[in-house]
Amino acid sequence: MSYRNLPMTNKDRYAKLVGLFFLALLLFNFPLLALFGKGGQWLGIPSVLWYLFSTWVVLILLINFALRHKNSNRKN
Amino acid sequence: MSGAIIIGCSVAYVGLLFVIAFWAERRAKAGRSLVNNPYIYALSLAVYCTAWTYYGSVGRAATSGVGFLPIYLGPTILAPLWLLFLRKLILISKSQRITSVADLISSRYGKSTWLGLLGTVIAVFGIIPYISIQLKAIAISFDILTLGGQPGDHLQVPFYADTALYIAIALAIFTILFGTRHLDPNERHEGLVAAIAFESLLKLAAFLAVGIFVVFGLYQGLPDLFTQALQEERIQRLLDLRAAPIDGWSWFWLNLLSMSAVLFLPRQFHVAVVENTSADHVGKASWLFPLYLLLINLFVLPIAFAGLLQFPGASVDPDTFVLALPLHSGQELLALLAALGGFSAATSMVIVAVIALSIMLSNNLVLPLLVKSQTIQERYVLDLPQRLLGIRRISIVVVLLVSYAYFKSVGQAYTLVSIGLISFTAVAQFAPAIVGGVYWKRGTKIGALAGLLVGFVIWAFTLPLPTLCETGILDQSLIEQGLWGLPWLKPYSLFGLEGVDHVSHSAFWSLLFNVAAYVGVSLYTRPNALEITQADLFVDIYKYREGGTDYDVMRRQAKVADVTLLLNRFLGPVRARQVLQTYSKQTGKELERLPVADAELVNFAETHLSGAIGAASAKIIMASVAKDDPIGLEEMFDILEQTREIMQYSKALELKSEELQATTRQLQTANEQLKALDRLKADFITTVTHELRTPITSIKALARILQDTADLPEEKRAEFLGIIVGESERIARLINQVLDLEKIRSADDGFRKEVILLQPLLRKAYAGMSQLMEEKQIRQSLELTSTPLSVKGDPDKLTQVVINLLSNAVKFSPPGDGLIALRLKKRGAEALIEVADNGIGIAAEDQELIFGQFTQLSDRERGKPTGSGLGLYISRQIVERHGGRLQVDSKPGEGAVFQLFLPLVKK
Repeated sequence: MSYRNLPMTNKDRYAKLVGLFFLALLLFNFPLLALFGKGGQWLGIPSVLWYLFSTWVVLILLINFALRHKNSNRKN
Repeated sequence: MSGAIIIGCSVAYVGLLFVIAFWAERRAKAGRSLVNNPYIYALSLAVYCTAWTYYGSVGRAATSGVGFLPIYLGPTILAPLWLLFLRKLILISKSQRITSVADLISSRYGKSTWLGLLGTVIAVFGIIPYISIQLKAIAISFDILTLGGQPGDHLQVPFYADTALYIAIALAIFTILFGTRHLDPNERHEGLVAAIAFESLLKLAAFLAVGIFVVFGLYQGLPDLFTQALQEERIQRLLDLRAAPIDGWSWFWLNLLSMSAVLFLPRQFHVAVVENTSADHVGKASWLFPLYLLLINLFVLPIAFAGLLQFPGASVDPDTFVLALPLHSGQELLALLAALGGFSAATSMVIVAVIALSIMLSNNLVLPLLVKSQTIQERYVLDLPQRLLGIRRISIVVVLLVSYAYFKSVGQAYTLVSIGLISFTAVAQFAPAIVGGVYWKRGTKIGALAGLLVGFVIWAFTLPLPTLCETGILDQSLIEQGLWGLPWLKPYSLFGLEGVDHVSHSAFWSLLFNVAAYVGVSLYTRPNALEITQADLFVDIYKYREGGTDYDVMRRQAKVADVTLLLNRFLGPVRARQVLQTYSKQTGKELERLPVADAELVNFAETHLSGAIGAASAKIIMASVAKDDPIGLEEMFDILEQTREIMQYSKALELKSEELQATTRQLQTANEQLKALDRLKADFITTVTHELRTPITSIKALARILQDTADLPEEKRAEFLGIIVGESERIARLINQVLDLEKIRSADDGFRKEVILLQPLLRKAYAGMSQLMEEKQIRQSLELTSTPLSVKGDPDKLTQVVINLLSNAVKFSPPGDGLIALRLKKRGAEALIEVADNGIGIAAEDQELIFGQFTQLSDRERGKPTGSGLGLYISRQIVERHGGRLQVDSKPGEGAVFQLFLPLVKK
C-alpha cells in the first residue's frame, strides 16, 4: 500500500494534538488567566475577553492545521 | 403576546422538525444520507448547548462575569484529543454495537448486568435535574412572552393548572413520536440527527440575532456597551478575576467536569458515538464544534451587561435577559425568535437525553429483568421489539414526569446553571471507568462497580441531598450539623473541607474516592475470562481493525455473482476478470467455490471500484448489493469462547504429547538396557557352552579311545580316566558356579545374615588350603589381628570368597618359590582381608577386567589357566551383596594383593 509512511505521520499528529490539549489546559486556566483578569481594557473591550476569545480562535486554527496535515498526506 | 400565537408557532416549529426528520430518513433509505458528513455531525454535537447555555449562561455571566465560560472551554480544551479518544470510543462502540454510556461500561467490564444497572441509575438520577431545567426554561419563556416580561408562579399553582406540566407532557409525546416509531438495531435515527442539527443552527442564529440587536440596536457597538457597563462598579467587579466569585480551583474543576460531560452525558454519548455515521467525521468536528461554542458564547457577556444596565435593581431574573431585552425594546418578533431559539435548545436536549435514557432503561434495566425470568421470556419472546418500544415509551413518560416533579419541588429555587452542574458532576463519575476501561486493561468489574458506587453516593450526599434540605423537603439541620450530627459529615464541607464552592467540593471528593476505589479495587481483584476478552477488544481496538476500512467488524456480505456483475459493469469484463484473478491469487480462495463474497472480497472490490468512480460512489454502489451483517455480540463471544476452548485443548494435547515423549524416552532407555542385558545373556551362554564344550570334547575323545582300544596299557588307562574325572569335575564346578551366579543374581536378599567373627572363619578357610599350598611348596603366612572383628553376613559365602582368592593365589604362585599371606586388619569401620601372593602380578589395564564374567588372563608361559573365569566375578558379587568391596593392588612381576573390605558390625 502507499500508506507506508502514514504510521509515522500519524504519531506526529497525535503528539501535536496531545500537545495542543496541554497547551489549551494551560492557557485556559489560572494562573495565566489571572494575568489578563486585572480589569484592563483594549479598544474599549475588556482585556480578559480579548485574551479568552483570541486564544480560542488560535486554538481552533491550530487544531485545524494539525488535522489538515493528515488530509494532504492521504491524497499523496 | 397571546398564548395562542406562541403555541401555534411552537406547534408549527415542531411540525417543521418532523418534516426535516422525515426527509432525512427518506434520504437515508435511498442511500443518500443527509447526516453522513462532519458538518451535520458537529451540529448534532451542539446539542451540548441547551437552555442552560441559551438562558443560563447570561444569568451566570450577570453574577460571575466570565464564570460561565469554563463549561465551554472544557470541551474546547479536550477537542484536540477527540481524534485519539472519541474516535476510539466510536470504533469500539460500533464493533461492539454499544447503544448507551451505561452499555459501554457494562460491555467493557465483561457485560456486567450490575454495571449496566448502576450506570443507568446514575444517568437517570443525574440527568433528571438537567431535564427539569429545560422544562423550567420553556415554561418561563412562555410566561414571559404571555405575561409581558414576568415569570409566572409555578410553585403555588396546583400541578394540573401548571403550564410546565403540559409542556412536559407535550415533550413526552414529541419524544415518543421522534424516537420510538420503529426499532433500529443500531439505535441510529438519522431523522433525529437531522432535526437536532437544524435545531442547533436555529438556536445559534436566534442567539446571534439577539446579540447583534443588543450590541448594535440598543448600543453603538461593543466598545460603547462595555464603556457604559464598566462605569458601574458592580459590573466592573465582574470582570476583575481577582475579585470575581470564581477562583482558579473552581475554574479548573468546571473545566474538568465539562470535559467529561461533553462526551459522557447520555445525550452527548448518543449523538457523538451511537448516532455517528463515520469515525472519520471526528477530525473535522474537533475544530468545528469549538467554533460553534465560540460563536454561541460571543454575545453572552454583552447581553448580560446590557441586561444589568437596562434592568437595574434586580427587577428581572438574569436568566431571562435574552427574552426580556428584545421584549422591553418592543421587538416582539425578535423576542418570539429568541423564544423559539430557546425552545429549540431545550427540546433538542430533552428529546435526545430522554431517548438515550429510555434506551438505557429498556436495555440495561428492564430487559435484563425480562430475560432473567424464564416464563416472561417464553411468553413475550415473539413480540419483543414491540414490547421494547412499549417499555421505551413508558420510560420517556416516567422520566419527563419525574423531571417535572423535580422542577416543581426543587428546581424553582435555583438558577439554571447551578442545577445543570449537579448533573455534570453526576456524569463525571463515569469518567474513571470509561477512560480506564479504554486504556487500562487491568481495570476490573468489581473495581468499576466500587468506583461508580462510591462516586455516586458521595455525589448524592454532597449535591442533590442538600438541595432537598434547602427547599425544606428534608431537615435543614443536616447541612449545618452533618449526618447523624457528625461534624465531618456535612454535605457542603465533607471531612471538614471548607472554602470551596459546592460543585468543586462535590466533584473533588466524589472523583477522588471514585478513582481511588476503581484503581485500588481493580488491582486487588482478578478479572474473569470475559472481562479479559472485552478489555482486550476495547484497549486494543485498532489491532482488531487491521485494514483501516470503516467498521471492519460490520461484516458485509454479497453474492459473488453480484460483485462480479458490478465490476463488469463499471470496469469492463476484461479488467473485472483481472481484478478477480488478482484477488484469487492474493488470498488463495477460489471464487467459484465461495458461496457468498465475504467482507474481504467486498472491500477489495469496493477499493477497485473507487479507482474508477470515486470512493463515495463506490461505497453507495457496493451498498446496493452488499448487506451489512454485523457480528452480534453473542456471536463474537461464541467465537472467542470457541477459540479459548480450542486453545485449552491444544494446550492439553501439548502436555499429553510431552508426557508421551517422556514415556517414549523412558521406554527407549529401558529397551536399550534390555538389549544390552540380552546381549550379555547371549554372550554368557556362548561362553558357558564354549567352556562346557572344551572338557566334554576331551572327555568324549578319551572315552572313545578307552572304548575302542581294548588293549590299552593299564597306566595309560589310569591316566585317561584321571583326566576324565578331572574334566568332569571342571564341568561340575562350572555348572555349580553358573548356578551360584544365577542364585546371586535372582536372590535379592538370599543370604543368611548372621554375625560372624572373622578370625575363626579365616583360620578355617586357611587351614583348608594349607595342604594344597604345602604340596606346591609355597611359604605361607597368616597374620590376623588380635582384636575380634565381626561382620554380618553368610559365613559359607564369605568362606567361598576367601577360598577362591587363596586358590587363585596358589594358581598364580611360582611353584617352589611361592609366598602367600592372608592378613586381617581393622581399617576404620571396616575389616580388611588381604590375600597377597608373589606371582606374576596383573597389569593395571587388566585389574578391573578380571572381575568380569569369563575373563581369564592367559599366561604366555603356561597357557590357559584352569578355571571357569567366573570365580572373581562371583566373589565380587558376594562381597558387594555384603556391602563391602573387592579390589586388587598389583604390578606385573611383583605379585598381587586382593583386598576385601567388609563393614564391621557396630557394637
